Amino acid sequence: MSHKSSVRDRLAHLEELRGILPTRAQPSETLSGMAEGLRANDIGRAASAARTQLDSLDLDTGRKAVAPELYEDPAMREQMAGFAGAGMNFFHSDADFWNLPLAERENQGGNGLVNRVFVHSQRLLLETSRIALRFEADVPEADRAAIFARHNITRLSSAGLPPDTYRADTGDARALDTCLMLMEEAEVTFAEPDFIEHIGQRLTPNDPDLTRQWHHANILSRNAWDRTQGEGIRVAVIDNGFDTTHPDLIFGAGSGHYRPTFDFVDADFIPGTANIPDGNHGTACAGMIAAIADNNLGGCGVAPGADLRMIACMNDQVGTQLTLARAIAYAADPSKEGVQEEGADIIACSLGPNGAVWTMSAVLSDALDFAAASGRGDKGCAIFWACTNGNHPIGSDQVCSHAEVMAVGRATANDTDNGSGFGPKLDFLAPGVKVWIPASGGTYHETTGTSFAAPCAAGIGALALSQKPDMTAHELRQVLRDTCDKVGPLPYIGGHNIRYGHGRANAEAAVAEARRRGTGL
Amino acid sequence: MDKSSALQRLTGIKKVERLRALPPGADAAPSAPDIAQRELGTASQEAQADLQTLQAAGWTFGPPESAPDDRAFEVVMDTDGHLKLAGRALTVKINPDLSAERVAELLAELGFKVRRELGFAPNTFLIEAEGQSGLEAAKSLNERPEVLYAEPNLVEAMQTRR
Repeated sequence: MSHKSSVRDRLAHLEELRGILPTRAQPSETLSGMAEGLRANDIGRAASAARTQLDSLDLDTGRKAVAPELYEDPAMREQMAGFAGAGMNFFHSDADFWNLPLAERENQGGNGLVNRVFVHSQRLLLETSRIALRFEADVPEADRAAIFARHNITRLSSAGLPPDTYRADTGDARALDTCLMLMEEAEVTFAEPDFIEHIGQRLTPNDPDLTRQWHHANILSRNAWDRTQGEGIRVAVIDNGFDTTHPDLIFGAGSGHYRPTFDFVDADFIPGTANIPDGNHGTACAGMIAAIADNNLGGCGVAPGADLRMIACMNDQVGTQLTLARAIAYAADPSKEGVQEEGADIIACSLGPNGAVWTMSAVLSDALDFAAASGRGDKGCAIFWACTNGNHPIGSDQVCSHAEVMAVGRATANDTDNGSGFGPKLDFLAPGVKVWIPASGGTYHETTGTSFAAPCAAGIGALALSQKPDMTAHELRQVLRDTCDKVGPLPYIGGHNIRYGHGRANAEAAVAEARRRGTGL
Repeated sequence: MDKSSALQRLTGIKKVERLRALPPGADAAPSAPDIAQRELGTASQEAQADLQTLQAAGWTFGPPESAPDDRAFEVVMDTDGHLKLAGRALTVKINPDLSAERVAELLAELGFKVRRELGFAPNTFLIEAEGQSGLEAAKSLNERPEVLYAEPNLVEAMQTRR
């Protein structure tokens, strides 16, 4: 899709909030209180302050009702707090007032700058008369002037803008409608309303190794972090062992390990972090998901706000599938090992042979079914598993082929597949080649494997789930599939390619889609 | 997974007759790595890698006569081409319509010791066979109509996927 088509498509799908308008921007103690209420999630206090502020205004409209739907919705709350802090409240007006021209609306006490209010991807957009447009480079000045005149728009300063780009004023016309008409002109590259919107403070972690973590740029983690860092989502990492003293990892409640009995018939579960065996691999997997952000140390995880719980079950890389099954069931429901903790929302595991075939025991299949059906209060745990690193069909791996398991392959920094497992069972790719993530000994290292792609995808899952925590595991899987970037040169059939799965997972898009499903916006 | 799948797998598991394994820390005759290499010389690359991982974890291999019966594990080739070890442990899932009392009676009558009930699946237990390997015990248990599946609790090398 060309840039022009992309802009036209986006503008054509903006949702207009008919009847809703902002007040004039007039900061006040009342609106500061409203902002504080919103930031504290105290909706009652915010609504009361909004009501008080509206009552104090001399607006010539038959209706000036508060618009609590804008801040009862978590997706909008931060923006509404930002607008309130800037002195702007929103209200439902009557139709006559809403239909007034800007100047007349201002004469009657309203906001004389904002024509209409739109929502797109959970962003509140205030339409003014201002737009930005760009001409194709070879369009003569006379033709440009003719287009300005034909659409009755006034050219403004272009200072600081790229070549061929202008600010303009549409006067009494509606800016969005004018932009859509402008883009019918072949000479116009694009035209967009210069929306007023609240731009919150972007998380810019101070972790010094962040620049080495190329995977964040590919999956657009940082854009996703504007919305969430995965707070409130519990992710269980099942592996051989972990560095319990790594300064960039927090071992959450529910961490523990399995220790074989003396006769190797059984294994005991030992809750807590004491005597968890060390393991470079598990440390790296956990760090990919939720290494601490903004602590001026190392890099950071894909979902740095998520709660990690580490479960070591295969010391020395030797054990039974029954122990692995117990670890999965424990992750979903710790009471199965006598531990009174909440179960995990997401399970990530990167254990398994790298050959073509892996036979699954019936009891491991039962445990996966249990976690997927009974975890999260029957909404199901989302289970991410690293597929084989070998160039083998995933269908030969009974664990990664299990219906409830998301099989993840590894992608390079160039967003190509890297010869890991393939086939219809491949769910998606995620970065897993030369990624810079934690290592045992409190360090970081560069490493490669599907082992790290799966926790990367699990981190994206945590970010998305935090936006709609009542999603089932199946719904989360669909969100992740639907929002993948279709990387690679080969075609996708029905949205899937045997080498890329549904594509390379995208944190920003997954978060936006989960948020849309959660809020309807 | 149904009983037929479990039975199909059991049928495909092959014993390495001239080899036994002992767990880390078991008193045994000195390890005989040459014997393991000889017995597994024609095995798959995966099986060779499994052997190395098991040995690195402290498992020792030798001829049956060198291993005490009460601690020795059978060495088997699973249907996926991997080398695994079968001790006395097995997992059994019994028809959930049977009461706990009846299940306990049944397992006791058959000479099994219950080591653990697995709470994530109904009437599913880790049990220990007396006087026979888990592999053989699983085969005989699967012949009973009350048993939904029985499978040996195989020790295996489970590498990381890096």
